[in-house]
Amino acid sequence: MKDNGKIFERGSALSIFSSDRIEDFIALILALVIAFFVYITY
Amino acid sequence: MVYTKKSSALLIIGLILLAIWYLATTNILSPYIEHLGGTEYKYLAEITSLPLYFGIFSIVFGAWQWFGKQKEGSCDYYLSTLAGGMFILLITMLVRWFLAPEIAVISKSMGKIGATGKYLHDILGLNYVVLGILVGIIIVNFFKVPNWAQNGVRLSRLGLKTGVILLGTLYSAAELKNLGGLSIIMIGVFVLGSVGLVLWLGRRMRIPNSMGGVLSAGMGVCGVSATVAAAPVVQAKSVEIAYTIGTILLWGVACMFVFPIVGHLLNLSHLQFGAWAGTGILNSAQVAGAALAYQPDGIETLKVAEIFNITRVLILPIIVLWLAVWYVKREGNSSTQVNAGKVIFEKFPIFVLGFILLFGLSTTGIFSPANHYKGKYFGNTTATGFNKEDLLTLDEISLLKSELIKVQRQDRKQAFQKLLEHGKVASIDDDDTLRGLVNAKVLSKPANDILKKTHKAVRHTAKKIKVFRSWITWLFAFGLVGLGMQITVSAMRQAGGQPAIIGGIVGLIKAGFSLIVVILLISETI
Amino acid sequence: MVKATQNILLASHGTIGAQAAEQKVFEMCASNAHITHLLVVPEFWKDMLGDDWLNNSVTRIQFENYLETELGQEVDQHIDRVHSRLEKLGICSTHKIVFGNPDKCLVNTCGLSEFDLIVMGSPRPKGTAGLRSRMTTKFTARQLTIPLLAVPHPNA
Repeated sequence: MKDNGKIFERGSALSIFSSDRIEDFIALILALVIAFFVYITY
Repeated sequence: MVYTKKSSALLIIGLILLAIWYLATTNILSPYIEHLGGTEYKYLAEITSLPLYFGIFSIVFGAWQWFGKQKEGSCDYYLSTLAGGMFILLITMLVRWFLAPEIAVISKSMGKIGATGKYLHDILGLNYVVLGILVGIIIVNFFKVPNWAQNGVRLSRLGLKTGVILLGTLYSAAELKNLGGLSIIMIGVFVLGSVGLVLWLGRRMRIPNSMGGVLSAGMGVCGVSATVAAAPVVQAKSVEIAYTIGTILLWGVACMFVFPIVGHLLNLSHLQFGAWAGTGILNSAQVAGAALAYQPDGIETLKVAEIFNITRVLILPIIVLWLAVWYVKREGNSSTQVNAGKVIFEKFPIFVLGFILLFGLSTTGIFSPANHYKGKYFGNTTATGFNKEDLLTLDEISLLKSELIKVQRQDRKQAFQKLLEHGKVASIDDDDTLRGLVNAKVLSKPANDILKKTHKAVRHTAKKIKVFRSWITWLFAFGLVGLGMQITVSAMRQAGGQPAIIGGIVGLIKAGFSLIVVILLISETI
Repeated sequence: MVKATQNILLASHGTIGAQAAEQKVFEMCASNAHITHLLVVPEFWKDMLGDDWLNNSVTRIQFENYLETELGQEVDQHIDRVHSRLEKLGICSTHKIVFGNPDKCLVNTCGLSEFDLIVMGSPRPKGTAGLRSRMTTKFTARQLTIPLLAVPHPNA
């Protein structure tokens, strides 16, 4: 019995990333980018 | 599979944003802004800049999504999320700039509510965060998330995590130490208390071990997340999972509305409310929601609540491990072996390390001048920030003098007298003490306003910190609106059976007791 | 009536109310009848991750796999139970498992074959615990073109 409701072949139902380790890592990169942006512009 | 949907949606979102920007910059919107509060309308700077950037961005990518040719691959996959991401952002913007102010105008027109001296929307915490989550819930339940947005809605967790990591920049070492200590004690006591209570009630009501296990994790640690983590470990039956998650979702959404109301009625300080929400609310996503509902524009409450949230996240693997051991012991015949190292490693949330990293970076002082925390502006020369106009006027001093008797605590009395003497706050310690006095709300409102002014005169928030704050509130708002789109009524309706009864009892006791503890033990500042 | 009802659609996912419906089918169907057992896995299961945002995907996938296996087992057990009863009575039966909105799935299934009668349980009486996903709704009543037999709930 398989869940027919799946729409995505990639990632999970809740995240576009295949692993949350990656999601956490991307979040960190994003945060650093924002921090860097704030650091140089203000 | 090509993920990009051939849809004009993103293009239209871009056009809407550009229209908002155009109407705002050309002052066509002025009468409306006047209606929303005129000079008190806080978002004018935002609506004359943000929609332009995001509008152009959306139009470019929207045109590409609609007319361009997409090939299967990572480029298509990641870019296809833009439509959904912008969808959430557009909702957040519309709610923040127009819906929430409109509701505030309506609520103000109804006058203050009875003895509370507050407006209805303040008491109900109907600000843009709560309304945004509500709009998200309404969209998913009544209209369904449109196809073109589905992929992008999955970005909400990324936004929330980025927000938590960035939040790391806003703590001083002392704050983190004090809040961390407080949260470990509070969370520790209440997690163990509620897990124990559920297991005890469960035994009395003769529920199966698997149900007791999954319910105690959900009630004790962080709601849905803990239930998801614990269900396979204690081999919960499907009905037990449905009951438990339904109960927790229902409680979570209810708490998000009820907590701020109670907080406003009891006049809790930011620290008290953050600690209470961080302990008493079962589901962790709603902790952030309630904190932002209580204080949408400042970030003090969120700072407190998130530390509590992080403590809960860190406790989660331990509880899962404990339940695994408990279940294996009880059921005996279970074939699962408990591997402590593996459980801890698998469940450890890496984004917490990111939070710590950014906290480390900020303690080096690169984001704010070192004197931001030291209080450069207490000096007596112009070079150190002294400004004659900031001194208290004679009228203000006499008003404050008349309220001196209301101040009971000795340290506050001293700081207060020193303030009257010098006409300004003399030291960082005094400043902290007087802020505590303001938060305690023992003085009249005009007196408190004067005290707030004296605080502003000596303490300036570094520009960078201000920018971080607004980034963080936007990220949290974005994430929470997106999460709102994942709460379905059909899931909440599954609340029922014994989990609903036990959950109701334990949830109420937890919320009530943590409120009492917070009021009794926590003073106003940390 | 009994003789004419050759091709019966039994909608049941094993609740007490549905078991009453099963019992009724066992009693009433002719020996040459054909029973189609429809079992709907309600779609709310796909929302059961709710707004969890703390877990990493290892945990979520574990949960999803666990839930799928668990639901699968429960479905299999239930199908086996109905099937073996019917086998003992010498009645042929097939089953159909679908995932989705229960009432819509029922209406869809009706269109797939020429059924003479649909049999299912009634909504449980107020105060009885159970999952909330019903088939007997106004929607079903309006859409069905086949007679429907709603067997009273045993606790009613």
